[in-house]
Amino acid sequence: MLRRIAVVLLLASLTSLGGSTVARAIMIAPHAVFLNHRTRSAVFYIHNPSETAVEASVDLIFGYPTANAAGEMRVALIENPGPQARSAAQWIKALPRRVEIEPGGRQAIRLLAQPPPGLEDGEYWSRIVVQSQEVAPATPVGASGGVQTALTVATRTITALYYRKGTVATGVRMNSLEAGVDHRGGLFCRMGLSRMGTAAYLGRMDLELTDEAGELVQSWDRYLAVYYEHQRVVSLDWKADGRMVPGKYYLTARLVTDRSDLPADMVLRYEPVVRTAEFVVPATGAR
Amino acid sequence: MRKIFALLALVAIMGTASAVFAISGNVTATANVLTPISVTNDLRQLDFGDILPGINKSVPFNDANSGKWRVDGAASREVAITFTLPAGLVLGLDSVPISFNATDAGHNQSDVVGVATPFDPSAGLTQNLHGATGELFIWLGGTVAPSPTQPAGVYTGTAIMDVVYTGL
Repeated sequence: MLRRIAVVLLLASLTSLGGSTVARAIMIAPHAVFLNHRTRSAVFYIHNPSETAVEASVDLIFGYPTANAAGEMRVALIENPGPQARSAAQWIKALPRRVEIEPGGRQAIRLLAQPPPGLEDGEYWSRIVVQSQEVAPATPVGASGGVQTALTVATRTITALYYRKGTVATGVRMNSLEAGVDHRGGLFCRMGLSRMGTAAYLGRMDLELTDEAGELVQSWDRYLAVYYEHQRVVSLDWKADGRMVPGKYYLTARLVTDRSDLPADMVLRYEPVVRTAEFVVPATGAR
Repeated sequence: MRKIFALLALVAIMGTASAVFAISGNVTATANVLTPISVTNDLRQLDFGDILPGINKSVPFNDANSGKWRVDGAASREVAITFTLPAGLVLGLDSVPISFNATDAGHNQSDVVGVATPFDPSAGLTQNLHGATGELFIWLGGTVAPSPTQPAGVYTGTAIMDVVYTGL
């Protein structure tokens, strides 16, 4: 009974989301899918709130968020991960893989896991990649004769998949923290992060800026995912009316596993990790 | 009770922006929920207009003929956007080279291209969605370079735009 109610609520939720904006492309719910070794299956939904039919294909590709050389977060998709990667992509199947969804329609996609024998306890990862484009071909543009072009842009909506076997645990280490004024005159912080345990660290970073007198100047929060190790740079915007007075400041980063966007029983807890960086806003760098 | 919370958690990940559920008269669970990402794919096509053989044609991202998309998601959340771009538009065995330079894409949290920030579409973008609307607008321009002997016809190609929350 509870399961039926949940499905009804999920469908109702998707309908209400799509009702207000007919121009939207597909939507995927939920945005994170958890499977376990006991049930080995899950369902997610693709909804087409637009006024035209949409073709969608579903692929599972190993991937995880990490920082590039500039410290910006990207999601790396790796088609052929090595045996050391915690990939579930090669042994989870999506059914059906290709669908055509009518305007306003929705489609359930079932995920079935066939893990290899002897799989060690831990968490394994994949990305669910749903590519969609309108059924109608791109309209050629330009003159009626001569050379014409038509560039179709397909969108891929990528969501996370976690497969858990046995007891899993997570943790994070903040190896470094640096803060300062960037070239835009804004604030940045750079933190070195590495995961511990057998599961991805899904948490939140709470950032607090205080002045030399200990007064809170501003605070921010960001969702955070650490799968391996990376150096992340976070650009922080000032309040619209904020002005930085030259002087010494402290940026405190607190990493916690409070995630209100994920099912509570899927969030793996870990103790808060706190670190503070000191920096100076020079007279020329203030705004 | 465990089942009720499981149900609430399921509801929580389904997409409404935020919700408060009251149960049994004395239990209240609050869930701040992540809205699923969606991308409009039909706001505007990248339109090079009339193309003459042998003459390159560029469309800047802030031109009225640039491609335009809107990303919708949870307010203030960070998303990563990457493009897989074609090197050419194809007609049979013929092709028209297409290229994208480091300032051929732009982004803005509001639908105002005049103050959009340029970015390199080949390098991608990591950006927070608007703090209230959850929107992010993306524009894409480019350059086509037909040869002097380019045969007439409709040349087609496909680009791919990936959108993903970075916090999962």
